[in-house]
Amino acid sequence: MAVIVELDVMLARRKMSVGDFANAVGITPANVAVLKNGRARAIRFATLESICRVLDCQPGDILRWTADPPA
Amino acid sequence: MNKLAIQLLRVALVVLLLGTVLAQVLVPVYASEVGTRFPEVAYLVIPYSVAGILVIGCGQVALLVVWRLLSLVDDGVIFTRSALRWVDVITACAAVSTVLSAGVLIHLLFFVGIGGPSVVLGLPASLAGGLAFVLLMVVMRGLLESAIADRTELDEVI
Repeated sequence: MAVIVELDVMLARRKMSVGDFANAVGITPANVAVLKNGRARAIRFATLESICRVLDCQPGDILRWTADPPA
Repeated sequence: MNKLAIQLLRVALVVLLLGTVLAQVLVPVYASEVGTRFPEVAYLVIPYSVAGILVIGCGQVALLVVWRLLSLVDDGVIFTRSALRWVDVITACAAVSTVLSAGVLIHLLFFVGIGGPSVVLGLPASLAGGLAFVLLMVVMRGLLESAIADRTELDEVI
């Protein structure tokens, strides 16, 4: 995946557990894991908005684009 | 919201199924009656009865498959790939019954040489009707397939 969701850094900075975070955002812990390990293929703006509200950050703080390594 | 419609449809399917069983009993009875009245076509009684019962049997299989698809709708799993298999069964049933009825009418008209206006008009009607139904099922299968693809993709959205 060329776009990476960097939740770990922000979660550590806010000292939040995955369970609390999932609860606050309103998604399942399983989906948080999917976001964290880069298996997510799509995310709703509503979810992104909720994540930003909970973590008090901007989308740019958690989403990072990297060029795909040449195959 | 759909619950009532599904329940009523199930009742209708049972009535239709019972009707087809009755029809399957009546086909050979009617055929042998015709065979007694016109002894020159008595040799057609058994093969035509078998064909008639088979055509109705195709309809029965299709009705049962509709029942199965309704269960999938009821359980909220109609947009999964297993539904396509059942739709294919309906399409196959329609194709078989179309070929069978057209075959009987062609045989009657061109090989036996019997046929009033009902046979002459029945042949194109059954061919066009059957073909239209089969093609309609193919189109609807395509719609179901794209709905399944959409649903699968949407399920991955977090």
